[in-house]
Parts: sequence; structure tokens; C-alpha cells
Amino acid sequence: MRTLGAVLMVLALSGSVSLQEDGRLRELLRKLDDDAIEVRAAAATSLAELGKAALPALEKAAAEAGAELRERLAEVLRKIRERERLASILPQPSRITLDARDMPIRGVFEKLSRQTGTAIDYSAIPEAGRVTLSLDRVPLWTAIDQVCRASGRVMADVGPEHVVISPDPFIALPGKITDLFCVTLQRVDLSSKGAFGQQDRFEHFGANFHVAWEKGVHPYRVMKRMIELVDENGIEVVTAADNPEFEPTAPIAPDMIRLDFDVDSDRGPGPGATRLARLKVEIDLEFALKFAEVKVGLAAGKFPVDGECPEFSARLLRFERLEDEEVGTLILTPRLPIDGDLGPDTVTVILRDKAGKEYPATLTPVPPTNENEIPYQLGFTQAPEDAVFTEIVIRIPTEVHHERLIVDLKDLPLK
Amino acid sequence: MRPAAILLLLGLIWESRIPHSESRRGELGGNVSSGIRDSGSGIRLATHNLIAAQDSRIRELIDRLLDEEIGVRQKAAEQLAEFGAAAVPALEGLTGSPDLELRARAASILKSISENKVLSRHWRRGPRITLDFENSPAARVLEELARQGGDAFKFDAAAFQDPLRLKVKDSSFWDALDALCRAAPALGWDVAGDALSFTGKRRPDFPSKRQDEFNVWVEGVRFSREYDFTGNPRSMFILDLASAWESGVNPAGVEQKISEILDDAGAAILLPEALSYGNWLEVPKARIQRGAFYVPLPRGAKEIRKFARVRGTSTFHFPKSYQDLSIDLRSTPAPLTSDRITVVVRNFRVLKDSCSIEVVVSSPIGPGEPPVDRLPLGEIALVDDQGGLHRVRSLSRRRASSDSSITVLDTVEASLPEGRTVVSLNLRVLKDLVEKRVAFEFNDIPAE
Repeated sequence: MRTLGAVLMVLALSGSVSLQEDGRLRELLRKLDDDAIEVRAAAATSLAELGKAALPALEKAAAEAGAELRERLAEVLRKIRERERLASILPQPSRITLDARDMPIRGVFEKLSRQTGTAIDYSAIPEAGRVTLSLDRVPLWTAIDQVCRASGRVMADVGPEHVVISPDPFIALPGKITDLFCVTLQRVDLSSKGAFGQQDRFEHFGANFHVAWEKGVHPYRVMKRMIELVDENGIEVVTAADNPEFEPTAPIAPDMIRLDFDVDSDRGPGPGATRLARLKVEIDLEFALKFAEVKVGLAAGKFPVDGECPEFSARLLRFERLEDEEVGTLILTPRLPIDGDLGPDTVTVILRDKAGKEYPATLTPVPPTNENEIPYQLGFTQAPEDAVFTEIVIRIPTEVHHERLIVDLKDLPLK
Repeated sequence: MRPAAILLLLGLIWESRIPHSESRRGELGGNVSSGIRDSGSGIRLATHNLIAAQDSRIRELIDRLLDEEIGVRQKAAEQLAEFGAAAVPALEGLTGSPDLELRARAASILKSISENKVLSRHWRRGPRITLDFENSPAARVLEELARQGGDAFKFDAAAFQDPLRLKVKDSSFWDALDALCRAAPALGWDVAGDALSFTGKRRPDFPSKRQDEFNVWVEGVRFSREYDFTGNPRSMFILDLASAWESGVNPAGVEQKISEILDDAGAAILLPEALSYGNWLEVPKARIQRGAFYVPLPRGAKEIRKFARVRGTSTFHFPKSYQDLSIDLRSTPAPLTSDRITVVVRNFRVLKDSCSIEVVVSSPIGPGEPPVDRLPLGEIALVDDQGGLHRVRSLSRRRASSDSSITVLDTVEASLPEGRTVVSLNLRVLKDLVEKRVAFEFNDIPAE
């Protein structure tokens, strides 16, 4: 109890919280040292919720605390810092407030786009259309959906880097909208193969989805899997057991707000299907809280060029234009055991030009020459020929936050 | 002696004089092996007699090159070209002849011989198969077919003990295999790498065209309906085409094309333009080339139950001539341009017991020319200061093509014995190609 007293003294002197908060902090710290585990757990949660403002006081308190309390405070500090980092890559959604009575649709989108950082192109909307609706602090994707729905004459399509509102009749796409994300089912592919009297028919099912997020949200990777497919006769064609593992999707460019991905299966209801009873997919959006990062400079134009961080080292053997893309050969060597690995699904490679624009690489593994090295062929298909490239950044997430979305679609008509 | 018999004998002599792998290594190193190697004395005696017989035949044919009849001269030239390596010394003697026509003819025959020699490493005429079995287990017939075809078959002999009756005379390998599959109660095959693997499942009745050493068939017809929730539904057929070849045939690239499809009413279905992007040909990894052909249907098109006709070609490209290049690595090598092909080598790095280098080969693609990868991997070697040749292995290979050119970038590596230093890089780029084409026409293909 002597150490707790000292901690409380420190708190009184820290001056970083108000007098009222100071009282609450003292109370929570007392509870964090309580004999009852439930009291301690509740106190830890409440302390973590105080957030960034409480950091200096808690850091000082931890420095003065005894071993046990210091450990508990360290956990609280870790939680607060993690949340801070998360807030920087997964910000709060834009909240849209609108009160439109017979207002031109274009004007509605003008008002709407002022309340979000996500770019919306509504230039193609005709002047004539009007809409009446009222929104009060509604998240962006819901707001866009409600305006389009209320108008019936415009359709929103999320492009790779901005939202495009087109003058097409509104169609409600199957999908799921959350505060930050919007997932839509674009199309399904139903195929069959008749192979000249063979008994076993081959059927293929594919579904193409778009997943969109607001500008400022930066998933470093999106994984997906199909967990249920039920045909119109109630037959479970695909179950979660068929796809126990998530599969990666395409690499994500820094300015991207929409990603396309497909799920597919070698079994399906066939081209004759008129309806799907159920299609359920799971999406795992991964946000890197911490990266191990190596930068290799391209300015000198000399190769090989090396770089390293405590976790791994990188050597770029070459970098050049080959027909219509920039290509390179990269060798990664782990220096510490890394949480995850240096596999192609984990490593992100970005090419940066003089203007600061970034281009993601596709990574193709190459057979290694010695067991420590992990070589890759890099291809930057989006990199323009006339840009001046300054560096290549290689990142491996060392701490990851997962946002999971389950999109459960029922009774989808296919005719 | 019939030309076929001569060729067969020559083949034997060729094999006994210069073993296949030896000859390849020798050529690349620039010191062609000669003389008889490792053969038993009996064979040696037989080959001596044969060579004597050939020499007089070659002299006779050379005399005919001076015949007054152009037809006789032409025929003699063709026969000399078929003789191959054995005729080379005599023909080389003629290149210094004061007779202009004789000199020109000798040079042209020597060129054909050299091209045939390259071609013979990649293509050989398929053996003729004769099978005569009455109540024999399928496994025995398979063994015999593999033996006569010089092929490797993978099958579980215990599973193929059902007796069958099969009579095939002087047939091609693929025809014999087809007859065998039809004669057996349940037998099917597929290509597995360089071999054929057999299963106890009846091979479906694929529409197929068997021609010489090649077999082309429609493996499947897929129908795909894309239901687009944004309101643009599409549907298409996908034709799966496969082309396989006999063992011992090694194309540098295989190109499958469909030129015409008629629906059940006999109306032509519009074929999409062939995509030129990334449409390059490379050495196939197995004895088969598979390809999918997309046939989009217009919206509201009526249902198609069968295709009245599917027509196209499978073209097998074989190397006819190479260009041997040697690049000195002791100083910074300059780009080498030769007969439209540009070769750049760079980033030569010496490691502890190996070395690596990057090779970039670019070649233009003329109209109608196949976009073939012109840098066959097996044809790159590093030469050390003691004349030792070290074949390279590829660390990474990247190709890119546009409408008018193809570029191959290969990062290669070779192990190096201690104390040796690398002086040059020998490589052989594909120069001319010869094609063998199988035109197919399949009628009434069910679209199901």
C-alpha cells in the first residue's frame, strides 16, 4: 500500500488531468490494486477508456508503482497506445446530416460530399432530379445508399479511388453496409462443363464482390473466404469446412478505397439455377498496428542496393523498365524470428516516386539459392514510364488488428 | 535401299557415334566430338562397313549433282541432305569447287543438314506401331505399345488384367493408343509430365484429330452464365482444346487457334479477337498444351445445343537453326545485336562458390510470326578459364511481349569449382523455326 500512496502523490503532481478527472484516476488506480479480481478488471477497462489524455499520468504512476501494479498499468498503457495507433489507420466514420425537401439530387450530393473526406464524383447527375430525405448523423455508406434509393434515378459505384454517382436507375445490390465498410455482390458466375458422356459433371461457381472503405482507412491486406452456399433446392453446396483458411486478395494501393475480390468453388448450382438460397462470405480486413520497414533508395541508380531493420534485411538486385511495367528482383533475409513470415501474402512492397505517389508491387516468389534468403520478382504494373522513382519500401506487419465482416445473403434471384 | 531404311540406319550410326547428350554439350562448347565412343567392337565393325557403303552412295549422289537433268540434280541434293552428318565432309570439299552451281548447291545442302540436325533434336518421325494380341491382359498390350512407341506409361499392372483383343498394323502411335482404349472395357489416359498415365476409367469420346506425331482434341465444352446484379448479364461458351505429342518430340512452342465455329443452325458465331497481350509461346512443361477459347454469346441469343462445326489449327514450332553467341565477361560486355535479336548481359556477380548473371534477349515479332521465347534455358553456359562449361540454372525468368516484340529477362546462376574464374558466357538463341501444323475440323459437338 506504500507504493500506491506514492503513485497517488505522483498523480496529484502530474497536472495533466483536471481535478475532477484526477479524482477519478485516483479512484481507478485504487481499484486496480484491489484484492478482488473483478474490481481490478473493471478498473483496467475504465482506465484504458480514459485514452490518450491519461497517458502522461499513467506513465508516471507506472514508474513509481510496485511490481504487480506496474504490470497491470503496463497492460493498460499498451491498450491505450494500440487504440491510438488503430485510430490513425481506422478512423471514425464520416457522419452525414442532411435535411432535403424536394432538393436537386446534385445539391444533395454536394452537401453530402462536404461532410466526408472521400471523393464523390456527381458531375454526371442530371440537373432535373429532385429528392426528399432527412439524415441525422448517418455513416457515409448508408447516407449514399439512402440518397440513391430515395431518388431512384441515380446509382452509386465505388471506383478504385473515388465514388461515382451515375444517372442510372437505382438497383439495390445485395451486400452489407457497416459504419466504415460497404460490401456489394456484383455478379455471380455459374458454369458447367459437359465432357462428352463423362459421368462426373464439372460445375463452377464464382461470385464477385466489391468491398469499399472511406478515404483514410488503410487496410494493408484483405482476406476472404466463402463459408456457405446453398442452392435453391436447399442443398449445401459449400460449407465453412470446405474453406477453413482465408485466402488473400489483390494488393492494396495506398489511395485505394475499393477492392474487388472473387470467391469460387468447383461445385455450384450450374447455369440453370434461378435462385440462390444463401451465400455467405467472411472478409478479414487487416490493419497493421506496427510495421517492420526497410527502405531502399533508387536515386543513385546503382545495384544491388541494401537496407535493413532489426527484423529483416533487403537487397534489391535490379530495378528497371521491362516493356510496360517496372520490374525488380528483391531478396529478403529474416534477422529475427518474425511474427508471421516473409511470405508473399505478408510482405508489402511499395514503389515511391519523386512526387510522393506510391505504387504497389505484385510479388512472385522465386526459388531461393540458399535457405535463409527469400527472393521475389517485383512487378509494378501501375507505375508510369515517365515518373522518377526514389525508393522502394518493404513492409512486414508485426502487430495486426483484424476487422471481420460476415456478409450473409439470402434468397438471391438469378433470373 | 529405301530412304526410310537409310534414315533408320543413319539414326543408329548417329546414336552410336555421338551420344545425344554428349553431342549437345560438345556443340555448345565448340569442340564437336568425333569418332566412335563406348561402343562394343561388334557394333564398331558393323558401323565401319556401313560407313564404307555410305561413302560410295554419297559419291554417287555428288556425281548426280552435275547431271544435265535438273530433276536429277534436285533429287540428289535432297537425298544428300537426308544423309546428314555423314555427307558433311564430302560436301565441305565441294564448297571450294570452281563450279559456281556446285558450290552453291553444296552450301545449300550443308545448311539443310545443319538445320535438320537441330530439328532432329526436337522432332522425330513417330514409329509405326504393330500390335497383334488375342486374349491378352491390357497391361501387356500397354507395355508393348510403350516399348514400340519409345514412350513411358504409368499404370498399375494389377488393375489392367482384363483380357482384350487388338490388331493394329503399321499405325501411328496415337491411332494405336486410340484403338487400344476402344478395345479395352475401361481404359483412359492423360498426360503426366513426359509420360502418359492410365486409369481404369473409359476415356470420353472427345472429338479428336490425330496426325503424325500429334493429337488434338476438344476436351470439354463449358457453358458459363454470368448473372450481373448491376443489370448486365452475359453468357459464353468456353471450348477447352488440348494438343499432345509423342514422346521424343520437343516443340519450342505450341499455338492453338480456332478459326470458325458454327452453331446448330449453321450460322457462324463471332469469335473474339485473339488477345495479343502476353500471348507468347514457351517451351511446354509437359507433353501437352491446353487452351481455353472464350465464345461470348450476344444477349438474348437462343440456346445452342450443339456446334455444327469447329475448325482451327494447332501449330507446333520446332527450332530449325540457332545462333551461337559467346560474350566475353572479363570486361564490361556491350549489347550484342545479331540478326534482329539483341542480347544484353549484365550484373555479373561472383559469389563464394557460384556466380550469377542476368541475360536479356529481345527480338521483334514480324506480322504472322509466332511470339516464341528465343532464349531456351538449357542453352546457356558459363565458360571458365580452363575451358570448363557450367550449365546455368534459372533464378528467375520474366517475359514481356507487345504486338511487335518479345523480351526475356533471365537471372541465372551456376556453381563454380574452387579456383576457377569465369571468362565468357555461351548462349544459343533460337533463330529460325519450322512449324508442323495440324488443321482440325470437328462436326456436331454437343454443347449440352
